[in-house]
Amino acid sequence: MLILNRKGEEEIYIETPEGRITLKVMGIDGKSVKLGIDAPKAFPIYREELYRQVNMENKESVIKKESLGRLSDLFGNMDDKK
Amino acid sequence: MTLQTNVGEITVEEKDIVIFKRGLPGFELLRKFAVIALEDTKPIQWLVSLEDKEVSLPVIDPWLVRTDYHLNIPKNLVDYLGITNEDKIFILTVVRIPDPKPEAMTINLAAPIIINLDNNQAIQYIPEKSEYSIRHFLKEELERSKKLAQKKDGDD
Repeated sequence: MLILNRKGEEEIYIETPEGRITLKVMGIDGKSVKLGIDAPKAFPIYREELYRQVNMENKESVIKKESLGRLSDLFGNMDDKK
Repeated sequence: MTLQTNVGEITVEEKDIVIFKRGLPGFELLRKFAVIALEDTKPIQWLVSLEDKEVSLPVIDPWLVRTDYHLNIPKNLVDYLGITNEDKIFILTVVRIPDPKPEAMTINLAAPIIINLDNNQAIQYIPEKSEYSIRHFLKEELERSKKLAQKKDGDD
């Protein structure tokens, strides 16, 4: 991992084939660093923990082959209740 | 093309292939998917990977579950997906069906899948802030939507 020291207001440029990503240290408050990010419009930006949650949820959502049969029963029941 | 997947044999036409340019969180290397409706599991549909036959996720129209669901698609995402016509936006939410207790299934209303039907470009949108959570119990949501409908009827 590349590690760089930056002070408040200082920036880092990351050049990508789709344009430049600029990271700027907006402020430091105790243990928390406020970052400003400028990126090409086609770059989704995520907080890691948020992305990880969705990542794990998706993995848990993948259906196992053997579960599908049981699901048909479940939805069959749902229809009956209507 | 016809392929064997965890939800059975499916046939997909080229024009129905949905492209996740940067993959799906958890499946970043998979780009090509199709949305498949199975008679047996209606109203749940399936987001099926065309590149890994083990990867199929149950998905559902969020408005079937939460009738007053709403979603703001930010400008950068409109650009990302090349959306020019709002009527061509197709939204799905991922369902988690626990095994062995499928009746406790939950819906990820916080991170919907947005598909631009004009070019089939898609993304799972993870908003920075959402009023929804990644686990809404389907049962509770259906109850809530029912009550909402009754209340509305009462008001009329």
